[in-house]
Amino acid sequence: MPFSSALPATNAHRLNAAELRELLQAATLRLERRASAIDRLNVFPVPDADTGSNMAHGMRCGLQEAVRAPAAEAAEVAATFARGALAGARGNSGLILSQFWQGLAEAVGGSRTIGVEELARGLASGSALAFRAVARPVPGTILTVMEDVAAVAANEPPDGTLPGFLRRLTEEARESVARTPRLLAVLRRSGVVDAGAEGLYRILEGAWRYVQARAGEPPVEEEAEPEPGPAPLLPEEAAYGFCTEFFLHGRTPDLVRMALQDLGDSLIVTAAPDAVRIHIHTRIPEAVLERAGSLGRLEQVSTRDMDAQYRVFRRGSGAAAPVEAGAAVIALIPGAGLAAVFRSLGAAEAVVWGDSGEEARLLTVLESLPAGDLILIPNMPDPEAAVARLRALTPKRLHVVEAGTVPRGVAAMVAFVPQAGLAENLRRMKEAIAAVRSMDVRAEKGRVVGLLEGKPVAAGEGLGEVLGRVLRQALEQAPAGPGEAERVTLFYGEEVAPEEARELCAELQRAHPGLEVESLAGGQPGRGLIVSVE
Amino acid sequence: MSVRIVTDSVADLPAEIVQRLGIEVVPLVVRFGAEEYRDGLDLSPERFYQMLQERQEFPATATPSPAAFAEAYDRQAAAAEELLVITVSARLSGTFQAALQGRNLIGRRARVEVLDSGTATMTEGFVVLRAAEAARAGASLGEVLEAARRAAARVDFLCTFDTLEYLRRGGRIGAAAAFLGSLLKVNPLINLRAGLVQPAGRTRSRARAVDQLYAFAAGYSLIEELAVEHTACPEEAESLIGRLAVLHPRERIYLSKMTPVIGTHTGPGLLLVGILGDKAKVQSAG
Repeated sequence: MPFSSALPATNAHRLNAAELRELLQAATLRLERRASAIDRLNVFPVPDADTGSNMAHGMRCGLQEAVRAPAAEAAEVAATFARGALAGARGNSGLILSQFWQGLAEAVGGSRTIGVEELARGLASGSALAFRAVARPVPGTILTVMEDVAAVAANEPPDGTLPGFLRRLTEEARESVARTPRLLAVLRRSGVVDAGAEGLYRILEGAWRYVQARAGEPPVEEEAEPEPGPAPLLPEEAAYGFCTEFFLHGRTPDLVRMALQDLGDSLIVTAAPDAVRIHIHTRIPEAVLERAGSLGRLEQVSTRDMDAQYRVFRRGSGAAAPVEAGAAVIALIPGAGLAAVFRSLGAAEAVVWGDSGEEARLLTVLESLPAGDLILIPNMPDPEAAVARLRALTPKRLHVVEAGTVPRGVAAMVAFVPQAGLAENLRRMKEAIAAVRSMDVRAEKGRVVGLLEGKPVAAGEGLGEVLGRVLRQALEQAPAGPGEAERVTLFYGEEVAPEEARELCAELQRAHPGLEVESLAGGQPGRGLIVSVE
Repeated sequence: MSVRIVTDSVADLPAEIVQRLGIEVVPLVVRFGAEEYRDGLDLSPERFYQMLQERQEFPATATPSPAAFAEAYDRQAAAAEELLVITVSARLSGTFQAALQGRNLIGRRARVEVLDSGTATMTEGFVVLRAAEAARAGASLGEVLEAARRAAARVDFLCTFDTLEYLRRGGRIGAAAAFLGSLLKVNPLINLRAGLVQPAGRTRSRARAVDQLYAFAAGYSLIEELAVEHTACPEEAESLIGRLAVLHPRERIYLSKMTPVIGTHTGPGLLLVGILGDKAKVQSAG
């Protein structure tokens, strides 16, 4: 795939940085899709119906960090992902999961690519660190599944293929999850499996499906969606107290664990940069804060009344409020470089249209998205055929934002805010499209032509010269929205060197000191520039 | 005997109002390396933003100690038996917890209620303002609390950042983390929902972000109080006030430089519009 080309070659045995990032994305999507079902399973340690959402939140934060800091080595991706997951960790299973990633990242440190051997080592280290963070580990939880999976991984031949390896881990995880009610009485009484354990299984399953698809093997048969079983049987009244979380400066995790362990349940103490992070369920948060406060400075103290949360959960007859699955955005793009731009702005995926490998990847993404609504940004004129093809591929509701050009599509993507809801997002995206002007400068048959909104307006010898003329015309026209044009963005094509793009930027900047000019690799075919003025 | 009001320095109230209504402000703490400053007392906004530019290290903040609250309660209890304490959102800061703990350390006899405003900046200030006005008019503690709660339900703000780096560093970024990592330069818009930072919008230019701040105010059917706050971008704040003057009398718009404890978490280039009022039907910024 084009955007992996600068990285070491990979095969069915190893993943490079970009592939590991994609694997983590697939795992996150898989978990997100199941998050509300997992929330409903949540009875231990406190039935507050947030295990799935908490775990998904941590994974999402990890993914964002991994995307934000582009890495050349797989180990760096693991490290940035772990850092983000730790920062975004909340709740019991969420914190345990963050420790798991932390341990995994430490064990694979230094690897450019990752294969079975590194993963097996990582799983063992992740499981060990997660155990250490929990003051009193309880069998029949996510910890047990981690341990079981790591044990299976340790016995795998180190030269095996990734699809085979991850399939066996996923199977072990599924069986281990099924065993949790035997190990933990409260699960047995409530007639459910452990929620955190189920979450880990879904993460592994997502990873497996990803390597399976990448190896070109037929997609894994989707199991039938389980009927939402009877709501877990829950006691009428409960006194779970307060979920109390905070950071403490200047002490080691071990000392803090010892100091606080008699004050409550579900104590998890983890090391964060410059501080120790504490999670505890307690009846008397004041007592915890007082003792912790005597050890050092506290920060970001949060206490949450779990009993109140539990009452709300029960009132909803066991069904938790559904995790808000807003619309996801898919972009169709002319060049691979733009995929990173769209993803960095929050698109679920961006695919180069007309590439059969890309279409296969899109299918995996489509099926793993939790949202029933998809916003499609086709960054091309006349997208009817592509839209029809997509409608045939997915049963999801498709909402098309007719961008027509890359600059408009990017503007629409910028306007997208996950929290805003579908209708509001569609409104904002359409509004944003109206406020941008699109230019296209490309070399064809020995000369350069410049187009403004699809119409040829200039021709000449060099890219810079024609670009300058088209931009002047764009600026002369009445601005599309309120205010003056402020920002010019160059997406340069495959046959334009980054240095040349930078030089073109500098030239524009000299000619128009009032504008902000930036350039990015668009990767579209040919020698040309796609330019937006906003 | 009337009720007295205590708040924290995040409320960012102008000194003139604090004095006139007899409000006690407990400062949060701003740290630059080993140096500690009491927000607004030892460190003026001017000096702080200068330090922000000059110093290598990033500042950090800390809540007031419970003891600092207790001292404030004791001071106020000399003149009143009932106090209402209004704090910054408990989901953004431990100040609310410190205010609660301060009640256990109090020396004098007094009844102290602590209210989480659920917000920050001058919109927290508006909640304090309404409570202090009610107290001044002779309302009981229950009535003052009710006035504060009503105001808290009617305040909202929208702001645009130059960078989300400070918010991320300070661990307050919340769901707005979705805005990190953009390969393109973007101008994020942020608000608070349920006391937490939320992404509210994103534009490709500062001018359009400021347009959205204006549109946010224009979406109100009734504006009782309006504030424009900024961190080290006074000209932009002035020009925005010029535009907002068609919605609300210019002389009644509060203009302020953010207090350092907020600046620590936002960095320079923050522009904010805060409102106490009622929104028109469905208009919403996120």
